[in-house]
Amino acid sequence: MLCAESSKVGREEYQRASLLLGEMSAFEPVGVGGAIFCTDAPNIEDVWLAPGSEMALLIAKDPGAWTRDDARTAAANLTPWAPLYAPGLPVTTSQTPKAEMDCALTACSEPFGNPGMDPSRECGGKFIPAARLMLDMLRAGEFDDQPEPLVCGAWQFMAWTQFVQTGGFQAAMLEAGFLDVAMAWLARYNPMERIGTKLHVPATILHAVGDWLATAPADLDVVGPLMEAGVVDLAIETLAAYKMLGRPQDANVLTVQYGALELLDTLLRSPEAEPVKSKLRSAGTDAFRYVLDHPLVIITGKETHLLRCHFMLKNEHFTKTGSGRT
Amino acid sequence: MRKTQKEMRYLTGFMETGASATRVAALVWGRDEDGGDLTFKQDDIDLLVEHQDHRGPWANTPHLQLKEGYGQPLLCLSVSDRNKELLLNSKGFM
Repeated sequence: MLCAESSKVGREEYQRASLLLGEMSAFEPVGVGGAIFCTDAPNIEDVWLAPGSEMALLIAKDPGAWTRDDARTAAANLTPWAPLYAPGLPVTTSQTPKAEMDCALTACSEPFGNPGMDPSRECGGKFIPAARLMLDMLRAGEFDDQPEPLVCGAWQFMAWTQFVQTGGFQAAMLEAGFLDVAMAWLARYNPMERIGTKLHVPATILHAVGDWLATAPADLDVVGPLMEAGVVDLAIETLAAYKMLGRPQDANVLTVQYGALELLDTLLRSPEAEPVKSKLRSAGTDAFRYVLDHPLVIITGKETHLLRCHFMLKNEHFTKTGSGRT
Repeated sequence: MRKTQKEMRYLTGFMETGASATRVAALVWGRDEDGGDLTFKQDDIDLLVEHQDHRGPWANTPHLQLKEGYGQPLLCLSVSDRNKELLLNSKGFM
């Protein structure tokens, strides 16, 4: 249905079907993982590449001319991913004929932005207007009464469109209030809701923040805005919640990685390291010892030479463009 | 065959929280003598050394290229006598 031409499956129906896939992913992520990476029937790549579909029409359109309904369609297309990442890809790709890393690389070929950092797909600032539109809609409450998978899709869009190395994307998003909107949305959830896998919005917001942070150029000041946003307390709360949950298998790996460790890693290498260290020391070591003893996996990367080639390619690109953070 | 096994070892645990957590912990508590408030285990250090290895996959990731700051966690650990021993016990560290 998602591959059908728009004359047969129009915008409204396309959005409903996409949203249904997102709902199913939240309900049964292993089964949906098996379906969207299948090789004996239309899979997620076919959805992205089908000619004449609503998706094809959206991809062909200049993102600077997107309407709000276009943004909702893009968000709808990205609804399945948050539940697939929540327990880690080793879990949710366990019933696919593809190797886990092939699935991860497939995800990287999604049409909005360039999460695979493939130099041949570099799109610079092309998606900035669409990302700003999505951000404005999130800020204005236009997603407040929408189904959770659609909200996740909106934040997933914010995450994956960041993966570009030219065009000043990350600076533009910071200026547009990306971090403020993210923190305002996160404040709607308590630490236990953020760490669990029943709700996917908070982890997807943190995924977006993490991807923004990871791709921000070295000359963009991220430390000041992060400190001002209060992410040290957020990270400490996240680690405490992980320990309090006491069931690593029920925790969202994205929340631990992006809602605590990546943030702290950045700040501890910055001029603000000392006050961050003091806060962490004051918080005690129990939660930290727990996260050390109970690691979680997003991607194992066991399938290997593909991964190495992939990142060597990326590395070459970063070297050429002089971008990327240390 | 030997090379394949070696690469497989480096390529496991690509994106997981254990090495990230050890990196952060080393930056905070790594210099403390006798482990300070947080006691590192040999497994923690082994994982960190594996991920910080400039021959491994992390070296090829854009965000962890061999640049200033890359070795900070290991440097912090090497200040403490106890943690230094753990580093020296870790295969591949030298």
